Amino acid sequence: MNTNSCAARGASEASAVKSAPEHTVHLLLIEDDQEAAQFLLKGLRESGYTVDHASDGRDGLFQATESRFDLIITDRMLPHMDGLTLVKFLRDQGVRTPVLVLSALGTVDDRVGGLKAGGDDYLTKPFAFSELLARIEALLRRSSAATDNPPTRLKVADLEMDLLKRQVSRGGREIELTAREFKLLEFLLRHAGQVVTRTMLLEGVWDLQFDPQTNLIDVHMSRLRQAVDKGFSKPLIHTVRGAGYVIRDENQSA
Amino acid sequence: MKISPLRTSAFRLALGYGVIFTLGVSALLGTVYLLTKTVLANEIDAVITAELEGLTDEYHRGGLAALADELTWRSDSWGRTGAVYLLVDSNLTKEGGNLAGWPPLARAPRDHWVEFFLEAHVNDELTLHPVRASVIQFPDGHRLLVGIDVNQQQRFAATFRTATLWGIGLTALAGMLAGHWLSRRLARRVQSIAETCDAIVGGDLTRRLDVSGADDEFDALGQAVNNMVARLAEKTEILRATFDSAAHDLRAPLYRLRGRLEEVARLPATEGIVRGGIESSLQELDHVQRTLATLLQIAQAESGISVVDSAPIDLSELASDMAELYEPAAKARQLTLTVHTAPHCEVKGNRQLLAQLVANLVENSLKYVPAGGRIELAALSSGSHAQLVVADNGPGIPQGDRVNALQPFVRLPAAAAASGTGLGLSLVAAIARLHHAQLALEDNGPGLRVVLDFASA
Repeated sequence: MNTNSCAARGASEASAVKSAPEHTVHLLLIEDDQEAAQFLLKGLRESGYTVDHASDGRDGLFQATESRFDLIITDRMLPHMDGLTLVKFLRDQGVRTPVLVLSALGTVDDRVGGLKAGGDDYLTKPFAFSELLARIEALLRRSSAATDNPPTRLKVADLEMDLLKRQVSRGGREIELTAREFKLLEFLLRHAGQVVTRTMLLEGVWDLQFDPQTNLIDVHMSRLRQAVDKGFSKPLIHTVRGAGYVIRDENQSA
Repeated sequence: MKISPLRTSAFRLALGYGVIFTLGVSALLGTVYLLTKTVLANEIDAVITAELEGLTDEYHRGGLAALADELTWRSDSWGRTGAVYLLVDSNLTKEGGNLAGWPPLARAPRDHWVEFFLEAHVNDELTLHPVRASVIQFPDGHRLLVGIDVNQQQRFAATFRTATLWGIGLTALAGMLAGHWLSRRLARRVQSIAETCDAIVGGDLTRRLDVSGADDEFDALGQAVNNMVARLAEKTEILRATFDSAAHDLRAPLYRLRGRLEEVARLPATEGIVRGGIESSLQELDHVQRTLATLLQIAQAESGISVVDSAPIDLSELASDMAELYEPAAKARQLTLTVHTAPHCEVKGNRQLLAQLVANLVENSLKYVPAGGRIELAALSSGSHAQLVVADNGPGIPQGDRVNALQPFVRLPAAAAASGTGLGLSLVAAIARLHHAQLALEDNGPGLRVVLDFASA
């Protein structure tokens, strides 16, 4: 596979937040709170996913080992077997399916524990549904990209990033970025076509896991936009209301 | 719980020591007794043997007649030395000496040690005297018996034995009495400790153990327990205040949320009303959520478990990262955010929690410092200490309010207008405590200068 075109191809595939993936993506939701589960199931199915549901840890483990899923979303506190034990069990059995842990426990320690148990991402309840969707997409993308060689160039429309030379250019013109702006743009490009939320950016670019009270990320994004989109007829960085940001080529996805 | 003195460890210990000590004393006195007895017996035997040898020599020199003369000459010895002599022929007929006849218990022994009782009149009283004697037989069939009255020695041995037994008995008794006294004393003190602890467990955190001032181990224990209870009382008070205010701070947005939702339900469902209601409801929910998250974080930090994922953190790097993160936000509020770093500012800690701490302080400054002001982040190192400083030139906190400011949910009068959960500084305080860092709120003349002092990693 041509690694150079990898990101661009991904960008053209995922057109919007709620875009239906071209092959059916199969998710398993393990959640004992029936009402919350119904709400999540409905939302995920509306977003184009095929979702199975298990309402306790044992049933969840059984389903997770019986059939092949693209992603498992599990609550942390479950009857019969808690979410973390379930993840450990799966990992011990060699099941590498990405797991997103949902938890009402949100302190730094809980989070670290959740990820150490083998979870791939950790989301504290209550969360915005858009946050969950964005993280699901990011995890799905990560697991499909993990098998390829890491790309050395990222590209959306006429915006190109050379990861080796640490250079960014748009329409052949070089763009000057600070180190942090470069990382921010790199994160967006690696998730091209996907919505990335503010917390994902804070986590991915700054390695911070708290919830700032000020609109920090928005200010940083507006600076990046100044550099990347100003002076070009077609903006690439878009704000997704109530969710976050996405970098994509509007023309191609239309 | 009543402690029986007989079941205390002190009593068991005293009992154990008592037994060991008594055994020791028994062994010691018993040995002395046996040795003394042996020495006495040996001495008697030596005297008898010497006498016998002397008389045998007499016999060999002068024959039977000389021996008989010698015996006659010594016949009054009983009264003086308690020595007895008897010379008999082969038919046991007396031929000399101060014994009336061959003693009944020693029937015809040949070279042999014998012991028998002799009836003697002392002060007109018939008494039995134990006699130890030795007998030899001459070639012509005559036998000579030489003995000594051992009454004195046996009485001495008996007295000695009695004294020994009394000594052992008294030692054991003294041990038991001391053990009992000691254990009652200990039981009383432990009892009072147990009662006080029960009262504390029962919820009375004002109770303290008695400290006698004797500076003994009980005082050390009492002091340690008292310190523990004091810390518990302090923590309980913080938690109580936290949750009292939490209830208040969570109720307010929930109350507003409920009002908005009821309003939406009541009014005709136009697009604008519904959307507006939903958006303001989500905002209130965010507020509730943030308050809860912060409370959880404080509770965790206050619970004092050591930080998981503690790692060396370079405060300079952290300060730079945070300054870089907040610089655009500060600029948007027309504030200058600067950072000063120093080498060797490593501390052990949790990066996420420390970042949260800095964020809270910087966000406070962003909130209170008027446009045109400045915020300074700094990492300093002096000797074995590393410091993290967040300073601004805003309104600051009056001296008297600084302690209060660290308490949960305290919003100082001057800050009442600003938004926020009121938990920011108490989370800072909790994270600082968790990292064993000294937190100081200082006057920046004008403004607030928050200094965190860490012992370097």
